[in-house]
Amino acid sequence: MISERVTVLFKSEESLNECVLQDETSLKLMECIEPYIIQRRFDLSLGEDADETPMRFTWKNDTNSLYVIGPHLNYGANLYIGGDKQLLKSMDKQDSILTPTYRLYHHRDDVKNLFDSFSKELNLNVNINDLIDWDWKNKQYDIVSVNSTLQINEYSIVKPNTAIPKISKDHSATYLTIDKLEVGMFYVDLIEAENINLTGLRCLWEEGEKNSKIEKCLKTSLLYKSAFAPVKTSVSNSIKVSLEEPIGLHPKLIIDLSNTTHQTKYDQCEYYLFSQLPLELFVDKFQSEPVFIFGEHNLESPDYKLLNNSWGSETLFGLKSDEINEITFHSRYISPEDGRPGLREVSFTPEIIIACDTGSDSIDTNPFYAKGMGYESYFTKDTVFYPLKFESLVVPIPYPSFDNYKHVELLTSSVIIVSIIYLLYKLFGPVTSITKPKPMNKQKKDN
Amino acid sequence: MERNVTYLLIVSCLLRLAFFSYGIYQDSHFKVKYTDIDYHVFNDAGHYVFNGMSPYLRETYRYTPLLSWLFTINHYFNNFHLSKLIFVVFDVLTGVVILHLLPSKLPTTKKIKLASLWLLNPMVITISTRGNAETILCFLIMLTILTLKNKQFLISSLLFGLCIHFKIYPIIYALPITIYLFYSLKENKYVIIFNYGLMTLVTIIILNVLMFHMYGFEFLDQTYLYHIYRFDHRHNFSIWNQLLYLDSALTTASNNNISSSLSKYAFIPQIGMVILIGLYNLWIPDFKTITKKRARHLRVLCNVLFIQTFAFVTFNKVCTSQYFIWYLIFLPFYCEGSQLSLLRLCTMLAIWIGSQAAWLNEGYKLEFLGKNVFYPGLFIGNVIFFLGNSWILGQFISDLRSRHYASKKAKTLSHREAVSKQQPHTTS
Repeated sequence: MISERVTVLFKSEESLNECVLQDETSLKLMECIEPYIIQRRFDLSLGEDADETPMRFTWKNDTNSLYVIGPHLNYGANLYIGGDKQLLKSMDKQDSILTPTYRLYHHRDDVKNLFDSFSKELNLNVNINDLIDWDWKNKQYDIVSVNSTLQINEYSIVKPNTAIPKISKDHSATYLTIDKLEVGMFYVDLIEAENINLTGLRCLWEEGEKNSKIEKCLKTSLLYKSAFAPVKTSVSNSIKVSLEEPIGLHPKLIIDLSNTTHQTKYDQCEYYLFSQLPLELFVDKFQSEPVFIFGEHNLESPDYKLLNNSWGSETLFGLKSDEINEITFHSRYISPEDGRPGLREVSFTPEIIIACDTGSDSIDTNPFYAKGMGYESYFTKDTVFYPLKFESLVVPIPYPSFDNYKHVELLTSSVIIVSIIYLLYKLFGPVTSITKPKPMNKQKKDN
Repeated sequence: MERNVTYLLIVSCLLRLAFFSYGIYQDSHFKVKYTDIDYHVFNDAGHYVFNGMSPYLRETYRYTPLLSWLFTINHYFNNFHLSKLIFVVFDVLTGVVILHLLPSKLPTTKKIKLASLWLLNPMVITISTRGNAETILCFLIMLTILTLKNKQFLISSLLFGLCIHFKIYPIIYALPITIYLFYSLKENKYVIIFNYGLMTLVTIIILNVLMFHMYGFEFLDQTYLYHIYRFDHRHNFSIWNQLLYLDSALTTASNNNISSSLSKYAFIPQIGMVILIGLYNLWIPDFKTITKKRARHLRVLCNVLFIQTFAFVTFNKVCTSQYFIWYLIFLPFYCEGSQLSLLRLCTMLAIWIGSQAAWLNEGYKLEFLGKNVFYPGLFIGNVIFFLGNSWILGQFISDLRSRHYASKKAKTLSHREAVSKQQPHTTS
């Protein structure tokens, strides 16, 4: 049984009215002046013998927010394993880190390998690649496997004046039969902090064949709480995140919150910085005092000695509002390479968030997503997050070249040999006259 | 104690207190902290001990647990800087011991000048007030030699054992101390030497067994074994640094064109040089004839320890500024009899500072500007530092040999003179 649900979020009521055409069997999204977000969700029942370990796979390769219909995803490919956090059979241990809430496999750029391993673990009786035409370049994915159900969420942000294929059972990208199809088209009617009011249309297709007709379209209004509340662009722009120049082996992250204009109705709110760090960067937990650091936290070893341990680390820092915060990271020594000495550019994406205790149970889940395994799992269920800023930064790390190896070896051995010969000469050779013996009479006096 | 010496000690204490106070001010007002990063490690380890846990829970704590025990006072009195005062006390006490070890016949002014090389040395004061623990070891080493001088062999051997327990490197002093005992003792020398060695060994074993019993294998691993399997890839003054970095990556990199094992034998020149210098007083010209007085023996011992430590640091696989203090404690004894001209001394000092500056300039570019200066910049800095220090070491050796040569020559001449004076008398 496969069901599909499509949610289209327009910027305004006008866009909704102007950009959607309806016929008997399909909805067509026209070229629109304003951008809009599409969430496609597939729900699949996993077999009875399926592994019940909760898993979540996410992919994000740009910094576009999913606004109010998507959760906050970490950059790159992330595979979270909950439950007893078992190692995946198809993966090497070094690809994961263990945290109190999950085991996490992560690749910043290479999504294919991680996704293939995840697919194999699911043990599906359908080919997941027949279901969705995966577009890793332009789309974000959030796939959750829990309680023998697989939920695939695909997010795409449609740029202005871009046409997309019409939505129908027949024209679905999948070769498989979709049993249920439901489409919701909304615009944001009202936002008050995390309280979201969406208004629009909800269309249901008849169950069954591929050419099923649209059964009905109804005006709909949705009122819910968003766990990742939207933040105004002006607030986001008021926060400056940068690396202090010049960037040495101890890159210092400057987070300027002195002009923050964000206001919240909750009393218990804290500013945080969350970041996944590649192996080449690390936090000295004794020096910088993060709230936590999970994964690789060795303070001395170069990255090439830790490749068998993990991919890096996850860290969370508390920040002080209304002032400039500084966090010092450290670069590991990286492996020399052949060719010219150079700089390896290492990227990471720190995220500045506000986390507030709301005391509300309804913030944990909403019609579009539920809080899952991600940084949200480190907080209480009633926490609402305001993702203020996320910015990809690059740290250049110098490395020497193996091409100079022979020169280094030759010169090292040469100067050591020269030094030894010189010192042996000084020890055993004739006494040189760099000092003059004192005149005898004077010596006598001295004695 | 003479008044001028008292003044020197008072000034030394005041200077240290001023540096200590400034350190607290800088820590609280500036981004760049005064306190040594290792002090934080000691303090954290002390925190664990204070709470009944192992100091080795603190990553990178690779010292004897005794050190972390000292730091429990920081947590008992809830004062982060308190243990620095212990280091300052040990630092001043080292100066006091140096004053006691200097020949008693020396004029007070000269004594003060020589002791000032330690007591008023800004490098020493900075190191101790920043919270570096080296001053404790310096004090223990000096006390070992003082008790040796005073023929308190049992106490000396216990202290020597404690020194080696604190840090491994003072084990290189075993050879010169043995030779010193051999030549300076007239009776029971073999028994005393055997007992000295035995008690040193027993002290080391007792302390290590005790620590092992308390903290398990982690103590052995972190305090001693780590120094065997560590690979020092991070930039430092050592001539071996770049080769060690490249070699450490060779095992993991898929570069099959290169294979080398040179850096694995880095210890050979170091050990060889340290042993040769340790044996120095065996082959200096007519050592036995010119050094009948025990004071002379002690002077030779201190000079040997000075150049031996200098060689150890110069040839070491890893070398940072804090290692310099290891040989600076012997500098007053070396300078006491130095016959180097002022020009040569200034040249040596300029090369010592200049070679450090040459390396530090490149190290700064790498560490703080992120520039790729590994080769040739930083490496040439290492070469300059090594060659500069080797030349300085050679000058020290030459100077020592010249002194003894001059001493021998003077002795021979005075003997001839005496003989020639006696001859007319006998012939008549």
